[in-house]
Amino acid sequence: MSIELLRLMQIADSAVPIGAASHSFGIETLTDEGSLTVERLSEFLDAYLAETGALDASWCRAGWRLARTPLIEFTSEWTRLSDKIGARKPAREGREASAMLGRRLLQLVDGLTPGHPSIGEAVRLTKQSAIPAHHAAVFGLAGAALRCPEDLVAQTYLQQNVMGLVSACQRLLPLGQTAAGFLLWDLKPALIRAAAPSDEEEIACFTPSIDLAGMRHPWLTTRLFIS
Amino acid sequence: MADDPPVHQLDDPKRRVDGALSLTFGVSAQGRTYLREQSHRPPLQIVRAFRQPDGGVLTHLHNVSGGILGGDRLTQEFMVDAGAHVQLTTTSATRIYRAREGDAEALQTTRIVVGPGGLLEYLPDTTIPFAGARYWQETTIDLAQDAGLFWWETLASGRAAQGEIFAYESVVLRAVIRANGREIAAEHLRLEPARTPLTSPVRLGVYRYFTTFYACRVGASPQQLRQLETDLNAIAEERTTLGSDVWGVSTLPAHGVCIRGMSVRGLRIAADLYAFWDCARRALYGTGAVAPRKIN
Repeated sequence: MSIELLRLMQIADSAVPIGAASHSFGIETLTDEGSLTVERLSEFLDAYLAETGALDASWCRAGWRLARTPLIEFTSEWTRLSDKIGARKPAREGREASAMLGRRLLQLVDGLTPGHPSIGEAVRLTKQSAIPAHHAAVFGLAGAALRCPEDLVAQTYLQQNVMGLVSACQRLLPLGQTAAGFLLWDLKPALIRAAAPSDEEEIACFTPSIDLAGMRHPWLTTRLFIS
Repeated sequence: MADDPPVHQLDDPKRRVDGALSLTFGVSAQGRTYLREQSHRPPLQIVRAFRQPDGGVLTHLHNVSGGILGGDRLTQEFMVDAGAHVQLTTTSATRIYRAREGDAEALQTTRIVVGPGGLLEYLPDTTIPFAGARYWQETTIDLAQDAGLFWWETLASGRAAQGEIFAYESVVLRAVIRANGREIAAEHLRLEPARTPLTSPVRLGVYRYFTTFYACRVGASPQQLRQLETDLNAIAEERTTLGSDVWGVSTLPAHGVCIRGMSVRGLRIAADLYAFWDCARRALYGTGAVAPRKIN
């Protein structure tokens, strides 16, 4: 195993202190309203990966590719990518969560790999120009800074993303550790499909139930999660 | 009768409709909006612009073929000059007819530009894709400083009364809204019921209608928009009955809010949208919504 892979595994670990465990990205609303049950969880996550997962993976790949862009172009391209991601996240809480996780991961990676020009510029844009650094794009950027291949970075991003969702489900639904483990194991083929590169100019994504759940989350009476 | 080809395709099955409609709205020296330029190519057309109480105009968009047929290419362009206030609506639901074998998917492209201080209320009726329909829609909207937009869109599951629920082949809806050149909202939805079950809890679940409503004013402050989100969410909560109709509201990254809804039967969507529209218009423009006069 290479040192690059070990480093990628570290920044993808749920123990990385960026606050990922505080977000359900709408799942809390779906469970509260009874739309999501343990019985339908596998089907839910499979469709989630096919829609949101594929879109997130495309942004992760875009971030990875931007790390190789000359700095003179990076600033405008990173800003454009940030706008693009934000515009496609209709639920405010989920959009803010993505920006918060991305900002914290960016600062962490900037500290771990000081001197990387793209990472440094993204940090500067976040601090000085309030350009949101969305999580998927930052993970891709960080993966490139760690010299990991694009496919592996996109797959790892989705792996940690879906593990976070299953972890949220364990706190919201009667889902035990063993069942959660089997669920994650069986999702690997769907994850690989979602992370695959696409020829499409833009990935389609139709998740109105998740969008609505994210929009309705601030108004839940009792909440375990920030989003 | 149902299997007969449409009349325009009888002679040449490969002949396609290439409709176009271009409207530009200006402001007169007296400060009133008027239809400054228009051009059209069938089946798209308009009849006239009606004066609105606030000095703006209302125009009904007609498709004289009664719906969109497989292979149709329809191009719309709406330009709203600085300070002009315009309301556009359709005369009835947009029917997307079954595509015949060999037909390309029907395509409707709409390009909208709203100049500084202009306002466009684009309020089409429900889109109903019939069994076997293939439809692609692209909408691009550019808003200048202080420009406003109220735009909703509702997609039905099909001709429910005929038992056609999600019997269409494909519907693709793409939209981008930019404010001062920067994207503030975008979607690329691909619905292919036979390939990806729309009843998935990620997608529509038990619901059959899907609605999105954007209310924007470029330059509105974040505080103003958060208050609007709160006010609109109060309406959303009041009008939500889980398992029947569900609504949610969020601010966009800047300059507006997005309201989204799903419904099983769709009967209350129009009234609910009006309530959101009226609230958002009062918050962003200080006056309530003026429902379009329908001529059908």
